[in-house]
Amino acid sequence: MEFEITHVTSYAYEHPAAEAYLETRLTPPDTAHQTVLRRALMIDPPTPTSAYTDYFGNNTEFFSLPWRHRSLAVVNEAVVRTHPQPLPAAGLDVAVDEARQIFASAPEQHYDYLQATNSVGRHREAHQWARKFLAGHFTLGDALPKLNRAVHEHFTYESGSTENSTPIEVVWKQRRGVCQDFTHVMLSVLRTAGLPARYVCGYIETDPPAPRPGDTRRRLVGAVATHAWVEVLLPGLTWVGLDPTNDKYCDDRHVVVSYGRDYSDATPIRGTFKGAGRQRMKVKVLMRRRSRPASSPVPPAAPAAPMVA
Amino acid sequence: MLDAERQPRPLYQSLLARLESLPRAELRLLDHRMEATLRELGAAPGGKSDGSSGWTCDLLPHRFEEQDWDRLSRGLRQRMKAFEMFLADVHGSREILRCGTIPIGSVLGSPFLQRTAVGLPATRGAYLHLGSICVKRSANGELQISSQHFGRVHGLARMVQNRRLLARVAPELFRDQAVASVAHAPVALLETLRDAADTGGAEPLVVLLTPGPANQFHAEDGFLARRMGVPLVQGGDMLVLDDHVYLKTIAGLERVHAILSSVSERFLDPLALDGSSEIGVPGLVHCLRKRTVALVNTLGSQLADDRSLLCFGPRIIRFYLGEAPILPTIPTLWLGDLDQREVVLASLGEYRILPLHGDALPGSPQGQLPTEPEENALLQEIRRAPHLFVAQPLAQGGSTICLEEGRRVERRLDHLIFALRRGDSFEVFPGALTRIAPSGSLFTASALGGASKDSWVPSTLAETPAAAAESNRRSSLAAHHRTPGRQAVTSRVAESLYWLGRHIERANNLAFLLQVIETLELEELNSSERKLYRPVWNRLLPPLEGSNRRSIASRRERYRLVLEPGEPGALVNVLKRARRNAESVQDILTPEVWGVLAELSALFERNRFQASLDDDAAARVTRRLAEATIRASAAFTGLAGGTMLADDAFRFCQLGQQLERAILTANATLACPRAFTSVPTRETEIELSAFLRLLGTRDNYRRIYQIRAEPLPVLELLWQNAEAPRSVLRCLAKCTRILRETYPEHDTQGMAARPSATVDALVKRLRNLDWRHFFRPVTTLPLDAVVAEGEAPPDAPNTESLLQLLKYLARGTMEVHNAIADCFLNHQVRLAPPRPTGLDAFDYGI
Repeated sequence: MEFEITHVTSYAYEHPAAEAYLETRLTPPDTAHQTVLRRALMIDPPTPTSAYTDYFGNNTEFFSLPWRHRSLAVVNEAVVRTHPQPLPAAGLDVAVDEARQIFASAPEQHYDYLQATNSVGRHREAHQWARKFLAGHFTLGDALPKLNRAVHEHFTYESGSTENSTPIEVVWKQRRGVCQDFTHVMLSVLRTAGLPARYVCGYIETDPPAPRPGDTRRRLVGAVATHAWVEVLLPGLTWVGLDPTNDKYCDDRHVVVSYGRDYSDATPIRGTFKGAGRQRMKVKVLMRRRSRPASSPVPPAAPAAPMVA
Repeated sequence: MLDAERQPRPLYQSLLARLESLPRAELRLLDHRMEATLRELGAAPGGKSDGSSGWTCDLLPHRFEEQDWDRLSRGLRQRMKAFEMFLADVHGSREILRCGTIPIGSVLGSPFLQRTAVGLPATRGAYLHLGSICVKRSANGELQISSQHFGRVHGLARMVQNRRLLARVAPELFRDQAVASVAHAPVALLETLRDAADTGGAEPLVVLLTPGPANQFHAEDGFLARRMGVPLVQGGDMLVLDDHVYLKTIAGLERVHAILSSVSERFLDPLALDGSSEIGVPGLVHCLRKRTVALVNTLGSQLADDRSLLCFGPRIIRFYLGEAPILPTIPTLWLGDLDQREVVLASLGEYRILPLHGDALPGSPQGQLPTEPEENALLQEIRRAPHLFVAQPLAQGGSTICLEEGRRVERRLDHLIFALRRGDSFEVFPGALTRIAPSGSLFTASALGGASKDSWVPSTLAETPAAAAESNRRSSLAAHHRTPGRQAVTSRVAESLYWLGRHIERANNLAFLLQVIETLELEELNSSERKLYRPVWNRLLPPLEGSNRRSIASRRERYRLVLEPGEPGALVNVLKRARRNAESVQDILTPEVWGVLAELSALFERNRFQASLDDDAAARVTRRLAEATIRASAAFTGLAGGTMLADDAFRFCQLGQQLERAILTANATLACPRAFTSVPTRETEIELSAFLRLLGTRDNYRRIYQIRAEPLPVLELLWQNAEAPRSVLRCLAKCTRILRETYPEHDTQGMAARPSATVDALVKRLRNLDWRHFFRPVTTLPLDAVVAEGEAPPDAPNTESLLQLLKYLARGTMEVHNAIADCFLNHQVRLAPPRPTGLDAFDYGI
């Protein structure tokens, strides 16, 4: 499938900012599951960006606006072709215990994705869930979707019920959250069980808001803002994506943008502002599927278009 | 220093004999001389900076024996070499972790591992450029490493300083002694930094980045920066543009090539590292990535200082160098490990608990054994986050003799020894900062405050490779060439001085107003005059801060205006702001100028606001404080002019004073429009007279015009007179002169000319202004027209246009602030894309 994505982040300042510095992780990577056909970042007021690849492999752009300005808008536009994702059957066949042993043989490689972080703590509940859902003799193929479903069912999706700073123990307690919390909870269970897992930030196609009569498809939660889900490392070093918010494996309606140990590593836009007082950030994501005649040949995978700033 | 019988070893006997042959009174005199010298340098207890614990230097130096020094310097070089390789490995292929030589979690789980640093280019291909270790003697007398500082290095300046102090205070001690010199250390460091800068031949700008005046090392950083001849800067002094770091100076943005950092790594860049940091430079890490700026030491080096890695030192040395460690490490237990934690907790009394980095330990004072509640608090903290603590055995040997008030006392000690990268090897400076524990304490005090000793290394052992000495000389010469009399003044320094000037003048103005009113209340006014005076008083209150304009009419209100803490415009608060600005540029102010401000704030401190005070007492306090403020402000201006270097920085203080005065006068005329714009009557005359008196210009007026107060001459005097000290024209003309002195060469060039152009335009307008155009010849009106009631005022059209003019001029005067701020202080003019004029509402910076 091909998606046109427009992701607008706008800041309104209390006072004009004298200096602003931002780092964005907004460039979808080219992977086996997706090909980026076009991508552009537009900044208003205009300023050049400077790109690099961060520790987690994300395409990152840095830019600064060290002059007075009243507002700031960052528009990320991408056209991405996704490919169907067959499940890595071989990796999923392995038992949890065996997988743990395999990863323990190269601990320095997997260390980061096995550790607790500030947002992915290891609380009592994580241990209980790890014992229950990821017992050693389960195969990953059995255990992972069950855990995914358990998170989906145990927690209620409620937008606005948490903030970026809400600690995971509060989420465990109130059993409500948004995709970011679902993801953090699942990561903490997986890592407690000794399975390397990472946070994924991206976009998901949602169904039209008003389904046609008779259309029984489930609405997917996620769009309008950015989405988040989990990737688990399988033996054979392939990653498999699970979306606990929507109780499913990731498929060709998911577009990956960035990875990290938790939200703070993968966060799409991070900024430092001077003189602005408080600032209000608004995010809007539009994701539209391109209609393409089924017969038309698939063009060769093109590298991402050069960025325009 | 002491032998088995606790007697001074032979090495010290001649020095002790020399010192003790002096009469006790003379020894005490030396002590006091030392203290006075320190105070002069702003480093003594109770000196300029109230927060710092102060330095002292003992009269008896420490001496290293030849074989000890040899081992220490070889050990330090070996350790830096090994840790250089360790840091490169950990931030690269992680061979040492792959081999299982040290536990993975100890390194990858360290809070000091900056993942951002992985893959960043190292400064000139190396992590470590400057490093130090702390050594002390174990219970059996062996010298052991107790901590290492390869991230940020402190104490180097104090080592140099102690030598200078001792040589100045007690030069006789150095007679016939072959002591290796450490004086070249700052210049050698500068040389290394300039090398690191890699500018391809161009003259590099090197800066020392400090966390700010609140930091315990600030005074030391300042001293080091002065000795190296580089600007001492804070994070906010720099900005990142087009992947380069720039220093904001009053001459514009200057490209920064190398940074010696005194800021903890995680706070260096709020964007790439700890987002809560307010002392970093957002974007700095990206510039490091792009190799446009060099950081010493390379980002990531602080990992080496994690105390939980101390015990792996020998393994790290063996792994990378295949050598046996020359210096042993003090046995250090990491409490994150369950077994080690149990060992420590089982006999807590035998250990000193330390954080992974630095000295701050929750609930436990430094240098003393904790009391029971303190110990409980610490235990609780250890249970909560055991992985953040290490333990070292308390048992230690080695103590020294200090002279306190001429008497011998015994103290614990340790040494900080420093090494600097010279190409591929390290030069160990032949000296040390020997720190002395407070009386009765087992450890040296935290950080670097407190007592210390000059430390001598026999000069035969000093490493003085001829090449290094030669390059030192070259670099110091180059440094002199670089700064031909004009040091880059950072915008922050200029801004602080500018606001210092403005607040002093503002305080002076308010104090004068209060004083005059207090006097008027006591004397001549009859009740009808008072009725006319009062509105003028209130209107003349600076309409500056907050929205709740206070009345100045009662003694109680005036008392509030002096002291009420909740009143933003109160004298006490204006002075507080002045003081805060002064504090941030303490190192620039002379002791005389600082003294005036310190004394004044002490006076206000003694007279805090008391709501219950009766009116008479309140009036007395008002008079006393107002008078003191006026005197202090005059003293400040006089002493600043008389004692401070009349350089670029200082001019901003004068600029602030002059501009504030111009703005105050401009606002004052605008505050009483009726007195100027209505037909003169007995009442307006009293108003005008009150007005002149409150502004302190009545005598000037009388001398110049020798008539009663009338609108036209009053306006002329306040706006246009070239001699009257309060006139807007005179103040602005002074501003122009200062701006021209500061940047004569910019005057004809584009943007930078804006402040002087703005002022020039206004000055020109004022010079050519003919007030008569705005006044009808009222004198020719029939006398009865004036008193006729119910009639429209005869000069109504003039009123409107005069009011417009006054508003226009006042706005223009305030606009000068924006021009100065944009051009010199926040660099908006140089950077911003051209903005639509007339649309922006200006913040007048009041």
